[in-house]
Amino acid sequence: MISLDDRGGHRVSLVGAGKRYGAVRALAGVDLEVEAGRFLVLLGPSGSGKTTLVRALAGIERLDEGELRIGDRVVSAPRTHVPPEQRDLAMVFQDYALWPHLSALGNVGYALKRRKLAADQSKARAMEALERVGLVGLAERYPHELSGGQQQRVALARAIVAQPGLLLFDEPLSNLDTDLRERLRVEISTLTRQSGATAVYITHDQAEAFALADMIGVLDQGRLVQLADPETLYHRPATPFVAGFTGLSGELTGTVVGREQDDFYVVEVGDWRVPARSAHALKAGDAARVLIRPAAPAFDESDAADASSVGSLTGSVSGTVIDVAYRGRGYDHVIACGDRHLTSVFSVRPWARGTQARLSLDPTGCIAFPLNAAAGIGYDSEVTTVTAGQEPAAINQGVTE
Amino acid sequence: MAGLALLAQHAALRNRSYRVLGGRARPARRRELSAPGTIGTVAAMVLLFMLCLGVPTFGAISASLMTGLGTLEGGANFSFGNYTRALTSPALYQPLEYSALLATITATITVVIGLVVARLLTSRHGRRSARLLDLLLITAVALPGIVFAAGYIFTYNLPIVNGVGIHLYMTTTLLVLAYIATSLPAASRVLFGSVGQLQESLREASRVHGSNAAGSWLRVMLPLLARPLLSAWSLTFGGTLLELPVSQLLYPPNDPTVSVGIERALAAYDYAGGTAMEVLAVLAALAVIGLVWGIFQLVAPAGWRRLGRTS
Repeated sequence: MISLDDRGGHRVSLVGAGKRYGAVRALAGVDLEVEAGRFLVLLGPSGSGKTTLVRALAGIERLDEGELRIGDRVVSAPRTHVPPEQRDLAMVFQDYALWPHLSALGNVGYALKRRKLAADQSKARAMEALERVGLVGLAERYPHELSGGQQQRVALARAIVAQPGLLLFDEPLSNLDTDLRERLRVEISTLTRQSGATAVYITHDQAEAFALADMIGVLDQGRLVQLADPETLYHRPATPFVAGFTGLSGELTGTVVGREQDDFYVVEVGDWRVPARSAHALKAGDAARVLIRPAAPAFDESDAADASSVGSLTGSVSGTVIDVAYRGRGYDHVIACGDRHLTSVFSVRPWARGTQARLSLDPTGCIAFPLNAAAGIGYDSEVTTVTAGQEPAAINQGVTE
Repeated sequence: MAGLALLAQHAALRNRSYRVLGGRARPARRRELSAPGTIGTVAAMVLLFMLCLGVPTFGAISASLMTGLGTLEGGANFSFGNYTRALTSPALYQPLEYSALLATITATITVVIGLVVARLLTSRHGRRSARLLDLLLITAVALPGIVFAAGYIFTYNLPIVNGVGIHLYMTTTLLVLAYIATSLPAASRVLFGSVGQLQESLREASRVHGSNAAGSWLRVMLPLLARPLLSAWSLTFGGTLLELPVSQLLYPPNDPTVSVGIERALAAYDYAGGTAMEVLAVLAALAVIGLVWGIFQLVAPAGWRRLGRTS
């Protein structure tokens, strides 16, 4: 039996995890370490290997390479495979995976059978779990008699009821509408942290990842590209891919003019000079791409009428408003800056289509990469914990600047 | 032709899944017909059943109630004498008992193997071998039972087969093997659809939440497949009880099956006895199937019985 850590959850350690499906390499040597009780979100696009990884943690998939430890026990190694039921974990599935022949109470109570409790104790604990997700009044209903949100709550109650040391979430909110998704996200966050279990949650939604995670791991093509806390990941993405996948307004290409202070550089983009942060050692004359976060550009209304003539100011770009969309709290605009577009440029008032506008750029939201950085996985020991251009090595989880 | 149909089906589906039965599945909604639609449908169904079942049933029952049927002496009278004779004459009731036993064994083994076959056919792994198996089963459906039985006689009568110690010719074992082989394609096709609808995550969730491989099958898959399994069992039982072509060629000496017994009675011009035996065999089949489903309704948990219902 896997013993629980002092914090209530299991420490999870994965070294060199590899998995192939025929010619497709789903996991390519992933190293990962999650401290007990932490909430890790694995973020990545379709086909990045995140589902394979979480299924390997669950024991549903066998790893071809590498070693997986849950707590102190090796549960997966070249000659070892501990079956899912012996790993002391629970999982919330994307399709909920509620058993249609069992009521809500039956579904939740099922997960308690491994605890070998007396029938009345088991029922009491299942009811308690349903109460925690607000479904105690619907305990006798069958899954098809519940709404999508209620079904997912039953799945959540089933996951937490046996107090496992590791909770796995496979895109549990992807089938729900926006409002319900936000409410359930809060419930998942609260209940998981109350349980004290270690959590591994996969999603392709960066907003969900940032809202839930203690740590975020970004996967691309079966590799863990970056593992960091949300703030580091946002402000210091290890690669253009990570930056792109965690939210961009747009991208500009130019030439490095020089270093301004610390790790800030000035990049000349056409007539504009854009300050940007970079973890790479850039030199004057290097071609660079500047990736701009949505929060970085803001309408500069100080002299909007002369926008086209003031483009050379440092931290400013100018362009034409080509689209505007009402977002409730204000308006998102799309600005054409030369041959590039900046999207999600926010203003509390609408700017009409065709208007010339000047934008100021917050340097902390602009990240510069060498122009050829897209080819390989970027790496900086201060920014990320993942090796690049070679097989990933062991990770020191939680490394920040 | 079956192979071409399968290839066309695979091409049309393009690997899309039938896996629709999961926690999020809703019961199918019942569609109410309009009054003219109801009348038309009921009339069509009555006509179909009268032609397919009503006429032969009427013929068999009326013939079984007549005395002196097929003789030129005197007029025919109605009585239950033929039934009394069928139930008391060992030549008539023993074949029924024997066939019922064989049908029970065949149905049970066929359903178990059919479930395994259906699982293999719907597995995400080994798609080529699954397609080959599928094609083989379809081909077996197209093979007439009498040809199948002739092949068994030829094979198990070969000196070389006896030489290696296999002495199955003219035994009950060979008859059951032939029954299973001929009924397996249909049973596995019946189960194929139901097994194919089950989402794999249901079993995975069971494993993750504490059940071992056997436990997840017993506690999750079996309840979800209980009705289709009973349907496949009933289909196989009913089909085997009155099966004729294979029985006729492979029944062991001195142990005729009910169909062979009926055929013998009819050949001996005992039409009334033969039809009485036929009616009794059909009633026995219906009684056994009814008993099985009745037990399911009484014993199965409510959640098992709810599956497959319409709303």
